[in-house]
Amino acid sequence: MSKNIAYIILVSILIFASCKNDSNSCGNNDFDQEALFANLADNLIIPSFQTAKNTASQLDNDIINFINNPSQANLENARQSFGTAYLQWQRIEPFSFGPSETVQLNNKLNNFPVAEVLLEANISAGTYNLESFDNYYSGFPALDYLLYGVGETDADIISKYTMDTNTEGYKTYLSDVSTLILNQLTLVSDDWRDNYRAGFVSNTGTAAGTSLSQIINSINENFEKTRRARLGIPSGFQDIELDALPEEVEAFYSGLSLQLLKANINASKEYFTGGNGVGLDDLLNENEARKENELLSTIIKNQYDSILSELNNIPEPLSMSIINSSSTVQNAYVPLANQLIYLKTDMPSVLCVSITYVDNASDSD
Amino acid sequence: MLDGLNTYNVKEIISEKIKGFFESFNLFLFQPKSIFPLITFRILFGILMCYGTARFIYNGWVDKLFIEPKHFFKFYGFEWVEVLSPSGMYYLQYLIALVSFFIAIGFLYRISIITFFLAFTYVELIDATNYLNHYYLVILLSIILIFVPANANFSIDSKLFPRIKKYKIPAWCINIIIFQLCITYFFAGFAKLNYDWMFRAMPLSIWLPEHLNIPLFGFLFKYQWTAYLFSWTGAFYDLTIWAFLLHYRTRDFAYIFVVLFHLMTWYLFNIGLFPLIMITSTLIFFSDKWHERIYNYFMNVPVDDLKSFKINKPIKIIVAIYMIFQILFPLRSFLYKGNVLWHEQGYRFSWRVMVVEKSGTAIFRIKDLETGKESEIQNNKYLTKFQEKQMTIQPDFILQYAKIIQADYEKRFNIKHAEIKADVFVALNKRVSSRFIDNNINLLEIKNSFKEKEWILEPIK
Repeated sequence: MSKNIAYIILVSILIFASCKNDSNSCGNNDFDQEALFANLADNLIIPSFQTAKNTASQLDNDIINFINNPSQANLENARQSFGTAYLQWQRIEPFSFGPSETVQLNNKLNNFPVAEVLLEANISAGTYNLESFDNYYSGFPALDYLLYGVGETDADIISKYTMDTNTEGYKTYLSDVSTLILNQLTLVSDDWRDNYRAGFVSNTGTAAGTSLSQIINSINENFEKTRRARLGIPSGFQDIELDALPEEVEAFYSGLSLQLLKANINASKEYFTGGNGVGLDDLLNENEARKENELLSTIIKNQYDSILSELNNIPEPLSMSIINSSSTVQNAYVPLANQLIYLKTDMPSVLCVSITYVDNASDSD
Repeated sequence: MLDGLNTYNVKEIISEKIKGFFESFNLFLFQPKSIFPLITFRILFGILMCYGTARFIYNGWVDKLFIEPKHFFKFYGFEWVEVLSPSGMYYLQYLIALVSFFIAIGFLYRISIITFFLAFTYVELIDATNYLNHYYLVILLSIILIFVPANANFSIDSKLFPRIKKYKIPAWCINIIIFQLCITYFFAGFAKLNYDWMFRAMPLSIWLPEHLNIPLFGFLFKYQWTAYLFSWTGAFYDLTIWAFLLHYRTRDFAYIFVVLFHLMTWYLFNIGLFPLIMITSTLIFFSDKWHERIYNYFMNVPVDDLKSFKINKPIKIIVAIYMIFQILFPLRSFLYKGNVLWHEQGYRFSWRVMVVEKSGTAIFRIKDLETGKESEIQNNKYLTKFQEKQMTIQPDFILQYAKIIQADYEKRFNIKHAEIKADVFVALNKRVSSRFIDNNINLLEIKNSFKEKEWILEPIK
């Protein structure tokens, strides 16, 4: 009997000795998840959606003005506010869960490259569904085409809205797309502020569906899309037989591609750091996440900076540099791959969160 | 002289022991035993497989696992197995459900169990991505069921053909199943005796806190000691429960543990049929009397029908080979250096249940050696997300994937001399990731075999 007791004591000591290593724990640490979520919601997500809604509203005004009076000056105004709204869009695209997911915001407003032929066919037909699932003739890419690409010169573009046989068709389509953007952003922005925030902040834990899981999954989904669609595919890095596909960059006609790309990476970085408040970096530090003795949070932040500095070396516009300056593009692509590994494999592993957007549940063992 | 005598004695003792062993082995195989434990087993097995197949269809897994994928990963030696057409895959599942039902009611039993074995095994061979230990267990149990007279009582067959009716069968028909269940438990426990499970409480430390919200007990999962308690208890349970089930004095108590333990794992983890399989199968440990008492409600089970069975040499040899194989095969991972949880050589078919939480990122690149052109591979063009996830962590899939890419590029672009390299990073049990394979190696030059895969790198400490 005393032997048994001795054994139990020994085992308990062993267990407690092991327990001291707190970095193994996924559930019991002192990190205040709610503070992280509140910071992200109140200082990043909700204000960004609010600004996006305002820029979309300005854009809609300027587009209505342009439609009512298609002058060069009004075209310039509309383009100006289009650029502002599209850059602001990059700041909210990473928040793809919750209200965004409910309305499929990213699929509705930013599927690129635009399907010109379908878009023109829509205008000719006069009937279309801009909200149909996974279409490529709506949202910002459609505006990019309608404000920059629908004719060779500015005069040609304006003439589409003044003396084309189907002037009304172009005007209506332009206005419909702009209205869609404004409506959808209003919907999501208000939903975040009025309904979603409270549940988001209190949804703690590490399981699928918790706020932490949503955050980590969405930051990765966005980062992967950026790497693949904003740089990889147009540069021809992802298909051996096709040299480069400059017309597949985001915002091909306006040439805003590189600015948008940088804005997106900046937004991703801010999402990670939580701006000036609590961010994923702090959560990683709390877990003492290190890679070869360096803090993982530092590695990731530095990697964002090297991506941005490589992007700054690419001459404008991106669609030209893909062909003429492919080494600068290649140089930016490399750190994107490293960052993908940090964000998608290292961070979720240390924080006990599964990447769920790659796998719906089936049995395991 | 003295030496000689000693040797003689030792020899004699050894030969006595061996003789004793063979005698008890004969009893183990050919002692008369009631058929009813086997009947219970057959009925529950059939019902469970019928339910499992219906669940599989209902959850949309036929589409997800067999119709959506464009390519499949194969088990070594089974590269030739091809998938059926979409409707064919559905019909096959219906067939499995139907014959499972037939097995349960004991109708056309032999044909049904053979069909079940062939169809089920075929489905598992189509895509190694879907490998689960309990599917392997089902295959083994169905092989055994082909050779035992599980329809010889309490079945439609025995109503239709009364001459096949039996009350006693040779013990091996039941003992081989018991043996298989013991092996499954023991090795499942043995696999848990690794550093991460015992001293980091991994991966339970990751999985348990996902259940903080369950009523009453949820809060316990936030503590690290809960994960240790579960890990150590789980290892002890798997290592020993079979022995407590074997021993008649502890059996009832042990079975209560079986039910509670598996119901808990069923509730906490996403492990499908496994808990139900173990809860139902382990009833076979119960005594002849225990089972006969149940069937006495339906019929008159003859009290004594003692008949000894002849010793059948081929059965003896086959059963012995099966048992030795089942003992040795799960140990093959020891032939490879390093941590099997990391390199996964000898990982499958060894009852390593729930011992890893792994994920990774794999970036493959192809280079046309004739033109020097290079590009990255978009994994989603070839693999489903689930396949990509599994490929990233399993080295033989990595090789097969390189071949899939090559074949596609040869077909589409007529690229004859290609080179494929990959940056693969894997994270195991809450660690940061480590490079998994040598990124300078042309994966097309490696032939998959059971030889040590030298191109797998050691994880960074």
